[in-house]
Amino acid sequence: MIEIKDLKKAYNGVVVVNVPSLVIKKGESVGLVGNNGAGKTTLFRAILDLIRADAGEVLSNGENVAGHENWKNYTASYLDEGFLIDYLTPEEYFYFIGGLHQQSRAHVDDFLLGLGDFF
Amino acid sequence: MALLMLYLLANVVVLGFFLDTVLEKIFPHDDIVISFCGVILVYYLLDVFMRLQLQELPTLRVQPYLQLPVKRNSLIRYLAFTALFSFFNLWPFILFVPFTVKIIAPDSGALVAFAFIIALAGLTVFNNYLALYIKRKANLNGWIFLIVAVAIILIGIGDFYLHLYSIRAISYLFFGHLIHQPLLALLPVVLGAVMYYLNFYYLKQNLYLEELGSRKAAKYKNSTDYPLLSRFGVPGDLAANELKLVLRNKRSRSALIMGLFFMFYGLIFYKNPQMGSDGYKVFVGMFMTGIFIINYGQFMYAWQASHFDSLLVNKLSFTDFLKGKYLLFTVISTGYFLLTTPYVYFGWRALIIHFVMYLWNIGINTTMVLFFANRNFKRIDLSKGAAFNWEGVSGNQWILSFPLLLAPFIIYAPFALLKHEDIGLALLAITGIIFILTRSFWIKQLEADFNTNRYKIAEGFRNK
Repeated sequence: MIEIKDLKKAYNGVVVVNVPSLVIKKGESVGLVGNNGAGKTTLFRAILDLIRADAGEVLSNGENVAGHENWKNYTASYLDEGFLIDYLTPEEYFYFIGGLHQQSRAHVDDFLLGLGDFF
Repeated sequence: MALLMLYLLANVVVLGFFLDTVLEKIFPHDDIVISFCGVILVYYLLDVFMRLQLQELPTLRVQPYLQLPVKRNSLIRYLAFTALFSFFNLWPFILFVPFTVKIIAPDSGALVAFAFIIALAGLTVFNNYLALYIKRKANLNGWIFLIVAVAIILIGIGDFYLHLYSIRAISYLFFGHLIHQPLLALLPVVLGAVMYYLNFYYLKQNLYLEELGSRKAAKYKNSTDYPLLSRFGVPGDLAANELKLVLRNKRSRSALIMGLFFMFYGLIFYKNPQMGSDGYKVFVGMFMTGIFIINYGQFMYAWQASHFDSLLVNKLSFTDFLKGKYLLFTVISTGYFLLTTPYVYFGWRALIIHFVMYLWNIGINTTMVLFFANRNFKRIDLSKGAAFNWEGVSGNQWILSFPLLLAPFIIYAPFALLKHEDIGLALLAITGIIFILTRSFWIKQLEADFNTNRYKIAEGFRNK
């Protein structure tokens, strides 16, 4: 469950994100729509603790994401090309991420077999 | 690289200003003007060789204009002119103009000095476009590069080992006559112009990106493994990834290869009996075993700027991240230390000092470099080349260089002055070992320090 409370972020005095309250329950899929510069990416960055919010907090499973690392164990994310390691081959990248989650190469290979249609 | 470049530039400036004294020392029996005239062409031969290795082809710059209504001729002229903005075109002037002003001008008059400068400019332009022309050709056929490199080396061997001819005599033949006949300065200018037009027509015929040398990096094999590193768990995986980063990107790879050239650094000092003292060995030993830590580490973590966000959101503790860095530094420094073992030829003491400095590097310099990495907010684009690339350079690197260079001498110098070199060396080694043994403590400090700066670092790396 993701819970956002009074989240605010401003750059140079311009408020880019101002979310008084937002709750996303377990199992829900949510789409976020907005113009360029509406603050979508900024909101996601705040959820992933990549920027320091000016006010408010983001709770993941009841725990503040800022200052905690627990959420990293069960959160997958992709915002832009900055989330890929461009000098690694796809296999190397999958092995690396798998390794971070204590998955052996064989596990990763097995998992990728199920996605064979994509490759 | 920034540190190294400034150091090289400083060397050239000093050499330029004292060229007369230097020439007098090297060729004590010749008139310095004769030696000077002889040296110029030798320099330009070396210059071509250096340019072939290091000068960048300014090609991608035209990509956005190719489909726009801009005349091809103006595109090519733009491409050709921007090629002149290279540091290589500055060096001959820094090196030779001070001598020309100091010695030639008072001796032979302002007109002759002016002719010299014109001739230097002509040769520089000639070399600039010659190197680019060869590089462009070599992009289509790799053998050309090899053939030209071998040819230049053979020309050098023919003179300096076989004494078939003398480049210095040929050089003097031209520049000696230039003193009496300043109009001769037009000859290099004509050569430069010819080379420019040769380039111009070549570009005009081949104005396609694939033929201009914008080839994308070669594809790597499916997956590479470093069995040695994979034993260390997540830090090992991280170090393996970073090793791939180093080897697969141009700029980081040259940081590693520059280090290999630095293996010869000791020869400059050790062969000279006046510089054989231990103090020099401490300095040289630190550079040779720690060059990678200094050269690559000074830009950390900017090498990973393009995917820093992913490192922050993945299930990855910063402790492991730091352990990976220490591991990478240790592995590569160990490699460099092993490469310096032939210096045992200059006595066991040299090797022992190298080992002491190796301990110092993996103990203290690694920690110091990582401490400064927490304060580096400037992004680096890995796809760009290394030579004279100032991207990612900030005040951070200059500040870092002071503690890096001074710290070992703060411990060593007092004992060396009191003629207790051995105690100084022992203290250096002990300090290094203490830092290695207390690594986990330093990692904790660095992690806490990182957490106060993490948003700022990530923010800086996102700013292209």
